[in-house]
Amino acid sequence: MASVEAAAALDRFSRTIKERHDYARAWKERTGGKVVGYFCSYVPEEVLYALGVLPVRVLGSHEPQDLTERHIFGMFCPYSRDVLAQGLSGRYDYLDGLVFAHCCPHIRQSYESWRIHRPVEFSHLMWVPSMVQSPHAVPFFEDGVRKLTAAAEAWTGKPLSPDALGQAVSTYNLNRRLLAQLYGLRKPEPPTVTGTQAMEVVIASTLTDKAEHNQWLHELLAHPPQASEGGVRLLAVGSENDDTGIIQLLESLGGSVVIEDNCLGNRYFWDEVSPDGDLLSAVAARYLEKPPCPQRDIGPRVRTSFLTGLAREYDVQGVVFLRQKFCDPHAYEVPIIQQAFQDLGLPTLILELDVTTPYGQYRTRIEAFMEMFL
Amino acid sequence: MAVATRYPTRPLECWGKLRELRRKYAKQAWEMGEQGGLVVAAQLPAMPLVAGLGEFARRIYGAYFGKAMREPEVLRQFHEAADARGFARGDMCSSMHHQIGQVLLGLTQTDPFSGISRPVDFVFETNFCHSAAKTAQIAGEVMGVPYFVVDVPHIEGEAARRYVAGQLMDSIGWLEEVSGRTFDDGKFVEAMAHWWHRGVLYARVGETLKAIPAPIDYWQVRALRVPAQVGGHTAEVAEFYEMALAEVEDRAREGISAFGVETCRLSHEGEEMFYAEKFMGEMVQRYGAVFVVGDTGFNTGLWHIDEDGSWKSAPTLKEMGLTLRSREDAIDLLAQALVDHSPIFRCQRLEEKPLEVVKRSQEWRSQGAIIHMDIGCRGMSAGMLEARMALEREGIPTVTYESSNSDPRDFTPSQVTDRLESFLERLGLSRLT
Repeated sequence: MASVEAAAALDRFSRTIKERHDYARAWKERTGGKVVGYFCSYVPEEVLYALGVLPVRVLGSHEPQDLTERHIFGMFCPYSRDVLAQGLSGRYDYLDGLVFAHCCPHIRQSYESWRIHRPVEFSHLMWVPSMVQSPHAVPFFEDGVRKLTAAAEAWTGKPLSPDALGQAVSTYNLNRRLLAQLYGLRKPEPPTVTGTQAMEVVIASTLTDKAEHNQWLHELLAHPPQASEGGVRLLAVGSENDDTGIIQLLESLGGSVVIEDNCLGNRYFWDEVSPDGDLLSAVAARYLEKPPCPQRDIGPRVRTSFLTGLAREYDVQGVVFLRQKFCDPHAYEVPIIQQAFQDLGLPTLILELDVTTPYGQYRTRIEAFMEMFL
Repeated sequence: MAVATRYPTRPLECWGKLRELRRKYAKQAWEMGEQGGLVVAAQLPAMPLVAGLGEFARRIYGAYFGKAMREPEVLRQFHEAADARGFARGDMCSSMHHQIGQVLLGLTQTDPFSGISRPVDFVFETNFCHSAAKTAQIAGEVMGVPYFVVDVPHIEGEAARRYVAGQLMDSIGWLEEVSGRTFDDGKFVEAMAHWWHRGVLYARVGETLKAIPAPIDYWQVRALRVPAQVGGHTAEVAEFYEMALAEVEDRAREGISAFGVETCRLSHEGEEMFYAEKFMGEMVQRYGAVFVVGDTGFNTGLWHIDEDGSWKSAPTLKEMGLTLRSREDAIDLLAQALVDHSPIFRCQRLEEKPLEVVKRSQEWRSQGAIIHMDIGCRGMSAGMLEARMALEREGIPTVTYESSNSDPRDFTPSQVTDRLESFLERLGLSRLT
């Protein structure tokens, strides 16, 4: 049950997602700043923010489209096709730039086709190492962060001052800390924040000025919801997923998503940038040291223990895999991680997402899954 | 209507030696362990480095690859073994999918000739695509052997080379630890020189196809790649490519053609269908057309790729005036080879792909491009549709077909034949009588 204040605060996050394009346009008009779109949680946003640029995560629209067939193979993930459709349709025509941190060939194709056919003032590609355990990974990524910095400085005509970077790091770290506090509200039984609400708060963070988002978070945490209806405590593990509808569906059928692992949820804000030492190095280190996506888990596996740890910490009863169709990095790990959960006695359900698939077909499977807990 | 000009032709003489080497290395992959050497499982290992440990053989995860590609029912069983474990067939590399099936069935360590166990010592892979890296991880875990993956960024620059060189250097200690052997810098340096040389020579074999008529066709070049992949670090393989290059250069000088007729020159972009290797070449030969260029057939070579997208064979060490003297020299060259000169490690550099595809087609004088939209390979399929548009803009006609490289269930021969025949007719070709 949410208080009036909590409901109003939560509604602001939800509305921001729906009205994200209006938000970005208004921000531009208000500040005179530039807006950059990005596709992956490995883009070191602090650098752009410190230069007065608003980084916004490009999301899909979950609508049928026929714009991408000439550009991107139909066997590429639906998310990559959906975000490209947004670019080609001109819905992001307010973007001044695009930054891509290599996550997979699917999204790289979206970035590349967008850049070719809807050119923007500034576009920049950086590589993200996959062997994050290598001692050479952070220095390499740091080089990429410095190149992004230099390119963005040249574009904006502003040098990156240590004070501005320090301030940006501090603002982003505060956002991460506040989001972690919010996630703490998902640990009690019943959790006071639902999975859908938490997801909306984090997604809104990827779309808004962090200082403003921090303010909204302060207000929410000052008047947190009292308690949700609860349900079967679930961990949702997934590919890139901006689909709040599927979480709502799970929660409407007796589930309570108390924690998730995806790049628009926990992986977006987990871990802070160390404020000590060289800040650009620290920024680079944070991005490679946060919980990795499957693409960055190619050495001795770390995701299995991280995910089973999350399951214990949030006291989950079952695990739902929300996998984008054709997402190969996740396809290689699902059986391994599923086994790890089953070894812990946790039932699992795999749902394959397509951005425009009606939810009805998932309903039966979810209902059958929930019956296991009766 | 294209004129079916006749040219002289004759069989390729180095074919015999190719078969001999293929047999030798296939046998070694199973017998090396008992002969005191090491067995490394990998798709594309950094071979010269392993050579620093002494004699070794490379075994791919799907060690029954050849049998599977000849026998669709066997291949289906391997795919089903992976399916049964939960690996989603349509969402993964189709080659890695059946190879994972073989790993799960224990075949990677079971000699097909005797049925007895022939263990793998370790997995040592390069991350030329994430499918290979993730498969290395699974293979190492399932077989219970140590694994190491060298991450190779699909991006240019000194930092990328340093990152790769650092990992390669670190891998030496790991190789010593897991093998219990001492790394010999001299053997590594020697192997590196051979490996570089065979890559340059292989690329030069590909360059001879610029001649009209092409002295051999693209699929024949591709067939020549096997020794480079399994024994590219050895002197005998480098010598084989010296021989092959000399022969195809002679053919080009003498006007010897691949098949006796060349009505049209074609390019093929994308991975081949391993289970239907001859389908594509034979299909277009009925119209007198010849494939002369493509990506995967040439990517075993080492190339210098200009900013304008032009592919030229990389220089030999001698041409560069370079003598490898130390472990560091060889590591630097290997890192450079992987980041800059090996096309397979560039397959996701999508900003460069359309330009390179166009330039290759123009320089090899291709008159049409057949593009494989490979359901089973995201890396090679990435960028293909943009490349297709770039080709069309340059006046080079294109056609796409859909299937997967390693799963015949994704291949409908009649449909692909229909598409290709229509395309060849659009190019003004008709069946040879």
